[in-house]
Amino acid sequence: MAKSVFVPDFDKLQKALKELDPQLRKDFSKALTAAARPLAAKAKTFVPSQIVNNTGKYIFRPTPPTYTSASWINDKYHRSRDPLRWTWQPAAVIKGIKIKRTTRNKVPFGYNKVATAALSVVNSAPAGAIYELSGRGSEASRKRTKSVSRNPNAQDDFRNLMTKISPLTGDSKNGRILFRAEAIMGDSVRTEVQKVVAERMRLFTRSI
Amino acid sequence: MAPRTEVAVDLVTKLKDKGFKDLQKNAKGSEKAIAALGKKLGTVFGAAALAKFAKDSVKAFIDDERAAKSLTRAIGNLGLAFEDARVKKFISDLEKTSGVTDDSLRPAFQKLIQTTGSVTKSQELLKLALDLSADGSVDLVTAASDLSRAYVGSTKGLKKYSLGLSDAELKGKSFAEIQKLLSERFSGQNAARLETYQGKLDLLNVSFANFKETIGKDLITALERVSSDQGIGGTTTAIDKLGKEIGDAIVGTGELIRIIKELDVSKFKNIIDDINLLSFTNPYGLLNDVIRGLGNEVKTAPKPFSVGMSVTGATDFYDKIERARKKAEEEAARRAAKIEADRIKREKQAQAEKKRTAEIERLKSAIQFRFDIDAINLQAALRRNISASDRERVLQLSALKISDYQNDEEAIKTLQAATQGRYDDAMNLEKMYQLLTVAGFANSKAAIDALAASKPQIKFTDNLDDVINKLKALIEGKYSISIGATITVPPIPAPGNSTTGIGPGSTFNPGGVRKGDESSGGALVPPPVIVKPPGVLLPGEIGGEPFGVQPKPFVPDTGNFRYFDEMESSYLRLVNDLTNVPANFDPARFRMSENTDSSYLALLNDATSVPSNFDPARFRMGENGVTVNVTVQGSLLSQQDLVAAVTDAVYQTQRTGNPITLAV
Repeated sequence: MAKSVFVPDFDKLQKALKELDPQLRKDFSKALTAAARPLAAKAKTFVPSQIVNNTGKYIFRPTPPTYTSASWINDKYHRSRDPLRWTWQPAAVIKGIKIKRTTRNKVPFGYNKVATAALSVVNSAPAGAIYELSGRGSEASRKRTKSVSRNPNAQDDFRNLMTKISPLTGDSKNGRILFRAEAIMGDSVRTEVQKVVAERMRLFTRSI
Repeated sequence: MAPRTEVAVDLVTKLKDKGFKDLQKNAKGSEKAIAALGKKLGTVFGAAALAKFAKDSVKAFIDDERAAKSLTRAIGNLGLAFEDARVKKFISDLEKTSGVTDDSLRPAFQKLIQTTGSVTKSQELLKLALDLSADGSVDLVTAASDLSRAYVGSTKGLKKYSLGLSDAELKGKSFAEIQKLLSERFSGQNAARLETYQGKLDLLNVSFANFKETIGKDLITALERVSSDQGIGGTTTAIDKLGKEIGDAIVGTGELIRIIKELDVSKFKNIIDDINLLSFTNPYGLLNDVIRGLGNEVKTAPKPFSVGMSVTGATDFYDKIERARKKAEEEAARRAAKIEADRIKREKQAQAEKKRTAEIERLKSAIQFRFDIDAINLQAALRRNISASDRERVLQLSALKISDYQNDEEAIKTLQAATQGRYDDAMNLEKMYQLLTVAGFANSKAAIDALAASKPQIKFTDNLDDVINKLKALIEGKYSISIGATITVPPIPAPGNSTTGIGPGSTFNPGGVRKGDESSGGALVPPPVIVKPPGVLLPGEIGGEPFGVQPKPFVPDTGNFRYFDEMESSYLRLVNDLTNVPANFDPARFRMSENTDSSYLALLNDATSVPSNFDPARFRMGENGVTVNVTVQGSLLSQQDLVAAVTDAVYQTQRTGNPITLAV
């Protein structure tokens, strides 16, 4: 996983900037978002219009499946939790790539603290996340994944096919959209972010 | 903490200690709440909350009492009823120091004591179980169950503790060893847990649980007194009803307190003065003290003895308990020893069974290999005149086939030898023996073993002729004879004449150099002393059989006569001993001398006359061998084909299990 710019007192910094001048805080937020925007834009370029195999057959259908026989219609078990989850709609995936300023996800830090992301670019669409990560993970994590397909080999087939037609890329072969973009321009974006933070810190330090 | 559920690249990370602060706040809040609980009971809680608390307290007490009685019964059933008080005290003390409530400690202890039968051992194991369960991955009862199962030899449950041992290794260890290992890995875990906020909260929880149990017990005592001789009876099972009654009682008490508070204290001043309690200005405080005093009196009032007192006194009583305790501990130790002995017995049986299975498998493989048609074909193919590359392939295929019938270690050696093109003695010692036997070099296993120890430079890819030539060279080199002294013998004089020369006497009489049986008084000439270099053996001596060449009978050379040692094993002696014919004796070249006038030496050169007393049936190569007649059909193109045909026939015969003696 790529390293992020760690600002332990980020909240204090924002608060201090706001106390100095509320406009300063707003500018800070805008600058951060602007610094992250190229990464999101680059990631969006890696969203394919369709996902097909070498014979042109869809791996990701563009529309949700329709059922005609009663056994399929009435089968509620073999269903995805969301019909659009396994549907490839590039517009929705692109829309799902966005810059987030807050997150509820926490990573343990030290003995009694947690680290949370203050700025991140996310690939939030389910289909986008599936496409991004397919082929990753350990054998143990795959076993934990629940499959509702009638095809017992569906998971393995999908993973193998995806790996074949679109290999994982990125610094440590960890993704196809966001992580690919991050491998290309992550360092420059982080440098820019660091510059934005350092500039405000300097401003804050001078003010006290 | 919720796991991360979105695909994201974090660019800025900040630190958040909110969770930590929340925890601190909760801990402080709990401490304060408990410290001020008594006060809050009367002032903060409403009637409903009080009723609920009372119900919970009574339920906690009832559960606690039930668990305690269950443990008491279990201990009693084991014949350790006298240990009940000691166990109760141990549980109570451990609860305060470990931060684990007796609700968990009791069932855990019960499991352990039912298995071990020893209070001391169970206490020891319960502490270990506390350490095992300290990280929260397993609960205390599970840890105690795992330990009690391990005590009787079932180590399956210990896998979850990641001891770094395989199932077989765990099974092979005694419980004492397992306990030591666990102690080394987990010792002090529970103490470390108590240093954390969670641990401190647990300690507070224990206090709170005990507080509830005490309140519950006192409430039940109060209700028992209120209902006098009828007792609370069935209401103990109807907690809801009991709770309502308690709630009503508390509400009533509150109402009473309220009324007292509203009373004009000055009206009762005289009464208060009379009872000399002027220091109490608050009538509620006074009432509270009076009520508490009454309660304490009720609780500490002496109760009638339920069992009769012994007249022998306390000393006898404690001596009796001590004796019983000692007896129980001895019994538990005996049981532990028996469990360990059973485990060792099972282990030995398993090992013996494994050994038996391996031996059966090995024998089966050996027999199956002998009759494996592919292996036979491959061996036969190796005897054919094939190209070097084909030979290498066949040899490797042969190695593959052989490895099918070997265990893993042997198979690795064989396959390594095949891969590296090396003729490995582990694989081919037996084959070497066969080759040498076929080639006529040896029929002694000891000799072949000696050859193998000399590590001949034979490669895996050598063909049969190469192997034979190399071994031949080796044998010839090893057993070449070199005599360090030269003996000069003068020409044999004509009969009746004499000559002088070196040797034992000045006169050489060839008539005297004869065997005693044909001599009429002629004495044997003592042999000259032959100085042999160390390590050189003469023919006929032990280990001195001439391997390098086919054995040949002694051919006398009258022109250069030689002396030989007249030893037990020498040829000259053996020739006349019809009961002990040397294996390498060639009757076609050697004949017995009749007791005629002809000299012995003269007869030796007469190849045309066979003595009448010569019995060829007694002159055979070997004594217990099987004669194998090899009929070669078709034409033989080369010497190799002949050797191959003979070798195949010999192998086929050897598979029948009969020994083979080669007659060329």
